[in-house]
Amino acid sequence: MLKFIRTLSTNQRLAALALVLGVVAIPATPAGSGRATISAREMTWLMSRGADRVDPRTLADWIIQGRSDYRLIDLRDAAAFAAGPRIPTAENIPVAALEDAGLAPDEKILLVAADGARAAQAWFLLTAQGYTGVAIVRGGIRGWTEDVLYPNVDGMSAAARARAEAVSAHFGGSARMGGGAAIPLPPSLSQAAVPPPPPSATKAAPRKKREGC
Amino acid sequence: MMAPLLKYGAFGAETSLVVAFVLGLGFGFALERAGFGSARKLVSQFYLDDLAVFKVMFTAIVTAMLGVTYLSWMGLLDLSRVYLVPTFLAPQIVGGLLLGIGFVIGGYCPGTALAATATGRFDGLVYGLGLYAGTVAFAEAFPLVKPLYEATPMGQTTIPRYFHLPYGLVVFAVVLMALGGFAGAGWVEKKMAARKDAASRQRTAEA
Repeated sequence: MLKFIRTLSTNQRLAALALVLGVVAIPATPAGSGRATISAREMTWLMSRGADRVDPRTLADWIIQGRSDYRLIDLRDAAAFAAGPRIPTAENIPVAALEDAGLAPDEKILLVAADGARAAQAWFLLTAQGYTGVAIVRGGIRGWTEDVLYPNVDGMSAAARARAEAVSAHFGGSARMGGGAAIPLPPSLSQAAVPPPPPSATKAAPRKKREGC
Repeated sequence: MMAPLLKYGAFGAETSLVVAFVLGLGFGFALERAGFGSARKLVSQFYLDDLAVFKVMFTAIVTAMLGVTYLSWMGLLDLSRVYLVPTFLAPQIVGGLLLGIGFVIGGYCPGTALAATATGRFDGLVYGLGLYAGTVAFAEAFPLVKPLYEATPMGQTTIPRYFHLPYGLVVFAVVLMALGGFAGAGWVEKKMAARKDAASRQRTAEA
């Protein structure tokens, strides 16, 4: 064996070393630190900068543009997620499963939940663990329903109104006028007896693949 | 001590400039030692008679990859804190082709042009000035380029993440690719040398 190694040139020896290291590395998984360090200053800075929120209308634009550089995480439990309404491109990952969801700390992660507290909890958990691009969709599912699916176009300029109507139509909703309580929320979101959303509301936009081009 | 050292606060932003300077010196030294301060050496890559560029760069990739893999495996490096350039597939393919064209025409790539300038090569200096002029032109024309620039965003992704492959398997595959590439490069170089020999012998015979 030693004799054989001696016959090799330096380059061949280095190549053999690389091969051995490559074989040994097959079971390797890069270790996450698992440590959570809280930088109060950094968190405050993120909040004051507004980088911790995304407006549902901005998200709607991203979905229409077909952007795939973010991951939209729906934090509701599976039953509520199935009941809808769902935001196209959303993945259903409850808070308890976030740890093992294979999220990357450097990707843009948008959180949406039924209530703001749950989304804030998840935001804190992730940000404390060094996830740098986490943001909450403002208003959660209700914000999506009220601002994108059934936006109130009262008092909007004509251009803004046309835009809101187009966006809402894209997702199978419709613009509304005045303070009419015509938002069809599912029972999970609204106590009042309102008709269920039209089936197209959640199915109109095809679910896009999370990644890809 | 956990790396990346800067992100874990081992030193501050000012010290990081010093570290960057030292690393830059090392990079330039390695380029010059590999002969990449000369446009002739770099361009031979494209004539296939000297594949040193391919071999040096792939060696660097494999060395860095194995280092990063083992360091993070041993818990000395938090790979998740290492910055990844976001992937924009279409503009990056276009940009790569443009860089390649510039490489063939000018005989340098950005890093090697600076190394060549440092060793007093005039063509390297001209290439470097062109580089900065191009950067300014790009910045000024950015509104025109923006649609392409922002097309096909895929976020900060990696091969294992994108194809759902085990990390270590990709490492092994890249090592195999490199070793295969080195063997292939050696074969191509031999072929080209033999061809050149034959051509020069023929010329002497004709003379």
